[in-house]
Amino acid sequence: MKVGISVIFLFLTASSWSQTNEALEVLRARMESINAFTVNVELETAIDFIQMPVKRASMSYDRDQGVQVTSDDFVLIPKKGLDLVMSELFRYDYITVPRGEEQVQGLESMVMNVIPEDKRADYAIATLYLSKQKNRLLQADIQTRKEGAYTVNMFYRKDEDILPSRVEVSFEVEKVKIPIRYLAREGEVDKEALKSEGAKKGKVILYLSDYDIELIK
Amino acid sequence: MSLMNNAVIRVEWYKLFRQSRTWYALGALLLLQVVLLLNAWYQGASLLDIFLENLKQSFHFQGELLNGHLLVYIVLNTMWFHLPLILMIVVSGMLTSEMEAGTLRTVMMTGISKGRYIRSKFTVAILFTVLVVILVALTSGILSYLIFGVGDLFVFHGALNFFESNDAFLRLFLAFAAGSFSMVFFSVVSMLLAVIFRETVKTWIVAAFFLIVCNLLLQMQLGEGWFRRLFFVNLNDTWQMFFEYTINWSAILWNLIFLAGYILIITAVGIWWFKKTDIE
Repeated sequence: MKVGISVIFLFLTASSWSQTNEALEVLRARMESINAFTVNVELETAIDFIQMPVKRASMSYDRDQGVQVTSDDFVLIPKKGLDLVMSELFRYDYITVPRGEEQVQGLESMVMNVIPEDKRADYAIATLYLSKQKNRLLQADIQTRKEGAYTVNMFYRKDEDILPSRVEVSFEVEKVKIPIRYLAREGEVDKEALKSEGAKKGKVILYLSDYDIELIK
Repeated sequence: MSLMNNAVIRVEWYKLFRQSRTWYALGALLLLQVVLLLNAWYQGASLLDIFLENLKQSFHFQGELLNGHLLVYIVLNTMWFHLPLILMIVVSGMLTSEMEAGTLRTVMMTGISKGRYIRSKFTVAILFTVLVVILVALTSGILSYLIFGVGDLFVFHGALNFFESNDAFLRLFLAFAAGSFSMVFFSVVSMLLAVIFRETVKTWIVAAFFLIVCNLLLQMQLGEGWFRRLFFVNLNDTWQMFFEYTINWSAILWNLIFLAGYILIITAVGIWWFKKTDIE
């Protein structure tokens, strides 16, 4: 009896692992089919101690050069979360661990942990939420080795779109230090509050439009 | 009557610009701006590094924040103390120097009424103050934009506010305009003090004391409710409200109306006091 239950458990686990791995490999193949792309970006900064108008920039990706953002404006470009093709995730060998299913953006999603096998990888562990029906990435919670954790949410305009039209990157950001003498009147700065609040949750929303994608032939 | 008034005012302008202290004051203001710009040029990069150190952990920056707008904003901050101090010295000197030299009695013997004489003093003091604010805005703007160019302005006002270049330019322009009300306020106060104290050094000391106390009280943000709203000291930082992310136009307008009211009251008291006082 015990042997039977163990066999069934092992079978189910293996089946789940196989499904997860297969879905991730489909995603990887699709992302790796992109050789380069350019896209127009509008950056919205949603951090409670920063007020900034929506900024416009141009983002380009090249398989060899990675992601580059250029703009005529002053822009705050998040250090993480711009890797839309997930090249960092797939750079080194990894193992996957299925974590069940969850609803994300109203879609049934497969949840899995991705753990790199190589210490050179930027991240320590990533939790991915893959849409079962559309087979694409909806959310990634990534724990980096040196630069903290961040979450990427991806939204797509059309079912056939390979890359998202909106990306939300959430991360922890330290409160700024204020050189009061130059940039603020002493009376208006609550120094105690500044000291005590520490890190805050910040979010940068990228609206992406006019993709020009070059696929590998 | 109008021609007579214009002639009196023209004479006041002439006397003001014949005084060496007026040119020393203007020279000092210009030099102060050059020193500030050099200081910002020297310290700017490390200042921004300190300020944005924490943000650099999460963001790459693209674009130059050490630009002309930031420099003009830094120069604008000097209006808290340096500019009113220099203005108060020059403006009060317009009257006290004539009182001390005895030329006031000679002027009165020409048939000009005391009322017309002191009104012309106040008028020229107000116009001179506005002229100096325009001069400071122009010189700081020209120097800053020529050396550092333009770009986004960032200031701390409750939050870290970023303004795009055109928006920053408009806000700085409006801040200078609103700041000129404060400067006029201090100028007419110094003229009133000159009317009361009559001696140059005594007037300068009281004027400097008044300015220091005003600055201290402003830092303390005294009072609550309507008192805080109407207290003249608190009205003097109205120009800072242009650097809130969303401009509160009605609050600014009311502040400037109240400040204009104070200016009128002080001017009226100054004229009344001068008219009732005997010329020695």
